[in-house]
Amino acid sequence: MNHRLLLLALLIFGLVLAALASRTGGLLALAIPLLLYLGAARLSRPDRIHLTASRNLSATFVSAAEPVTVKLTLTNQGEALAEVRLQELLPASLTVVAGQTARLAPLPPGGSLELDYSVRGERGLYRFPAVRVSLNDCFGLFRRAEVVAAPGEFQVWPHVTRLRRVDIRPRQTRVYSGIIPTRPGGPGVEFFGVREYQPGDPRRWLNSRASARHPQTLFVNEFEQERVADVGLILDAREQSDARSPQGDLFEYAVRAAAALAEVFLNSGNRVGLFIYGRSQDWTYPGYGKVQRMRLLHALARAEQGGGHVFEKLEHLPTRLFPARSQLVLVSPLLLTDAEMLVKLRARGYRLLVVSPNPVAFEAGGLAESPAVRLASRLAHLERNLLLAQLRQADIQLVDWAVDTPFEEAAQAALSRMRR
Amino acid sequence: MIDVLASGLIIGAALAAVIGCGLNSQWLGSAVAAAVGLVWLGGQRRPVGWVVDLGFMALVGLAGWGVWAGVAAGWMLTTTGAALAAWDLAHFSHRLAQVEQVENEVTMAQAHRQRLLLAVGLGWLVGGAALLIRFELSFGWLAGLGLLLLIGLSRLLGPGRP
Repeated sequence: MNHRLLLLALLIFGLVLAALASRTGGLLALAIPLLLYLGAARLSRPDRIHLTASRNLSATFVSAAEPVTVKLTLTNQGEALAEVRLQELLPASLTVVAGQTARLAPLPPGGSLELDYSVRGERGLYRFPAVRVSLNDCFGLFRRAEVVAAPGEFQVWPHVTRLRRVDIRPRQTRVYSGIIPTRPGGPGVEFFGVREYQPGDPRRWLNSRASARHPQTLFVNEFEQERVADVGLILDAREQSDARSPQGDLFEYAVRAAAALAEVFLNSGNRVGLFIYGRSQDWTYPGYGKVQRMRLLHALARAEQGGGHVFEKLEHLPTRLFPARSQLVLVSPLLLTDAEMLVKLRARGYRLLVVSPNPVAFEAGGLAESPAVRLASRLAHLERNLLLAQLRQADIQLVDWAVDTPFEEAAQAALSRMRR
Repeated sequence: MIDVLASGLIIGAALAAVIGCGLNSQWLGSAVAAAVGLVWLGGQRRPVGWVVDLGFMALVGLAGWGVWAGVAAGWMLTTTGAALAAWDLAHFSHRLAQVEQVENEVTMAQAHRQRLLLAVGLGWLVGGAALLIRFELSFGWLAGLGLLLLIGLSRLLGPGRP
């Protein structure tokens, strides 16, 4: 019960009981203004409520830091309401940048009340399930709270860093021409070798020097064929491998790296799929082009971490999803136990590129400087370096990314040096 | 505007109690009424809280005591009505302040004042009229009417529970 109603009721009961006990009519007269006030409030109490709400969002997908305008309309299809307080139920991590999220007004039958505001948020999927409506009688004694459904949602995509080029060399490529050099010679740009002329070879391929040395035979140049490939992006969303510091969450950096890599691989014409490993097995089927870019950004926008024991290790990675001998790109801070599975994948013929946001440097950056922190950080670095050395030994390409360096710089420095 | 009106009503409620008790030589009652009025006025500037509710409760309680002690009931009825209106306005002002945006605030406040004036004014008139009516009731009638009143009040308050 509303505390004001309780107080008023206590006073009325008190005065009436005192009047009856002392048989003083004057006390009963004192209760009359209070009784009439209570009666008036009771008569204007909203009983039959019929409210509907609709929501209109200026965009359904936005990039990070871009505001979204929300227009919410509450319509009264029932009796007149003396005091209506409309309060938006905002998802926790959204920031209001303009406008108001609460409003108070009387609402006549058929009347409507609007909220118009702009919000901004970090990467994620934001759902607005409903709106809270508080209804009061004319004196605010009988309060009633309603939750009116007004569904709506929008996604904030991760920031996509533009990378110039990431060179990959999977053993298996697709039939379409692209930019990945392949082992068999054929049409292309880069010189591959010389072979004997075969009918049908273009004349511009003729190697005049080699043919001059062998008067009876003609030789032609062969080039590296350039094709597109299947790229399986794997984003590690295990809580166990994540690190947090006052700068934020390392997982967010991993998501940004995955978005940048997806973009660069798709721009090169490759077929890219995305697997988010952690909370559940979230698989975006491989595809090409702009539509696939949208799908991948959707998946990355709603990517969340999970801490289940099932996905504690990489053992349950469903490798059947990825074509044999294709290129796998794992974005993960890495756990010590991951080395075994990654070496196994390499042994099965997958080409493996691991982009690892450095959790040790990230976490140490957020701690106060002290001898103990220095020692712990050094030990953790040693442990991590050992793990990375194990992976390099298994011919796994690595980008050890200290996240205070921009990803494009780290990726360019590490991947442009990659063995061709 | 609402706060000024509420302050005026607090002064009116306290003043009616002070005069009423003073006319009946109840100096303690006058002093208590003046003190409650001052405390409530002081609490008006701060966000609504226990001071407003306590002030209202104290003035109505004092009015009840005054009637029982033989102070002219008209003064005490005025104290009760003015305290009720001041209490309502303080809470209304608080409800408005809680929300970032109030649509047609002036019209809404005006409508509220009119409704309040009607309810309290009518209460004061009916209460005043009740003071003029005098009749004797037997114990049975008194008990029956009392029971009826309590049941009626319970039913009135009942739907307010969540």
